[in-house]
Amino acid sequence: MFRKLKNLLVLTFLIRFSAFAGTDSSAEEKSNPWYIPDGLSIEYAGGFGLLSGGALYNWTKNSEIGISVGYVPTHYGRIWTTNFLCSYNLLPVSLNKNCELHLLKAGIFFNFNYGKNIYLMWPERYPKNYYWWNSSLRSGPFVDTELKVKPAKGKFSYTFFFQCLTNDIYLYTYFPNTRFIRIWDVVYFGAGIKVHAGTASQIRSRM
Amino acid sequence: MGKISVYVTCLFLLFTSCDKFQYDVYETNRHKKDVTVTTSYNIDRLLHLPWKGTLKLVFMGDTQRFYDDVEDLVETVNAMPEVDAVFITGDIGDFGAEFEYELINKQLKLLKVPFITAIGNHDCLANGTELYEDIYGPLNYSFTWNGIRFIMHNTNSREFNFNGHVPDLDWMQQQLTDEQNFESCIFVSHVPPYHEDFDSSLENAYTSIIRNAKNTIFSANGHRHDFELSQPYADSIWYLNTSSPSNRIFSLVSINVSEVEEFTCTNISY
Repeated sequence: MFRKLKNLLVLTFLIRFSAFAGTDSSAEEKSNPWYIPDGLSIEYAGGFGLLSGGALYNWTKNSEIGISVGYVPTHYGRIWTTNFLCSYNLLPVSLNKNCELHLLKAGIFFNFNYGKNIYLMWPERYPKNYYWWNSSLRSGPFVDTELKVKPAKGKFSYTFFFQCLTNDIYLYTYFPNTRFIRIWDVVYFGAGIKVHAGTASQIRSRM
Repeated sequence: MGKISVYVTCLFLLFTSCDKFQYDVYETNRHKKDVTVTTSYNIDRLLHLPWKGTLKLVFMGDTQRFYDDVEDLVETVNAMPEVDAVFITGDIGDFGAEFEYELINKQLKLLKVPFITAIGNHDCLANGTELYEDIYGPLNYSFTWNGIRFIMHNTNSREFNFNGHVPDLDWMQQQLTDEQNFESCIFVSHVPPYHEDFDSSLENAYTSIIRNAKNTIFSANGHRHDFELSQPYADSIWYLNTSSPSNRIFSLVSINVSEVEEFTCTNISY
């Protein structure tokens, strides 16, 4: 499974990369099928696993969609995740021709968890609506701060991001208990790197 | 290259040392271990209390998601110097998520007296059972204090798919065989035996164990969130159903150690 996934990611990335190989690739870029990702990401924590990795798609100029798969090792609970993130870049700041700061990106995520005793559908032993929530699906808002760097040499850009999230059950716990629980108690962090292929000007035009 | 290595090492240490970098809502083993909330630590505290003729025990349960109310409960109990211990009849958390136990333990640690827990059905969700064992201790345990054998046990049959081993009747029997070492018994668990979430195939044998144990004082349960003190089996055995903090009531039970079968139960509002 890992090998297949790896091969798929490498293949899609190569196709994307080849689209940027020419000096003027805008025509080729448009010709890429929709499912070829615009970038790849790898993330530490964020509720998506000890590590999660996946594909990124630029939806509009300032919005991005991410799809990733993550894993939590056995010692920490043995959980697989699949994750869908959608974010909008609210405050892009161009620092210089090689750096761009995305001061505030805001978005929502949907995170499916698979593990022992975690259910997409509650098992038959429970009467209907015995538990009101879905134990597998978590969703919530998040904000990102990103630093996008395009080295003078090379054909990749690197985006370092820091993510701050919360989710439905955390908020459901927080709101009736705002005296005891602080916001700090119900947020958590993730951090990672995104890689995009393309020249500096292409990257800027796509930001 | 040297500088980059230093940056990478620093970032790695920052990320791995900060528990705000959450792997998953249902992660385990990420919390800071705290011995003061463990069952063994609290039993040890109980056993070192000076002997008293009358025990005053607080019974409450289903603290799940009622943090502001639990905060007031802790304050109220701490203002009652006569209280010896707090018993929690399960459903400490709601979703089986680690952050819930971190929150509730922050509050329970403020209690001046020891607290003793039983596991509830919500504590069994996701990786909750592992969390419970890791944070507090075994799901079934017993101890003797002032001549009373406390049988703390798991009755969340539905969570274990009514597999016939929850509650563990063999284990319960074993805790009651050395009758020379105790004078009376109190049973504490979450789901009461007359509830549909209790394994009905074990109900008769279970209530029979409670009935035939040496001087059973009462059996305490939670799950229903409302206070009730009744004898549902017409066998002179009292079943106390504890209130949830959401009702802002807890039960204060007084037990005269010299006349063990006698107890009084008062509801305290706060």
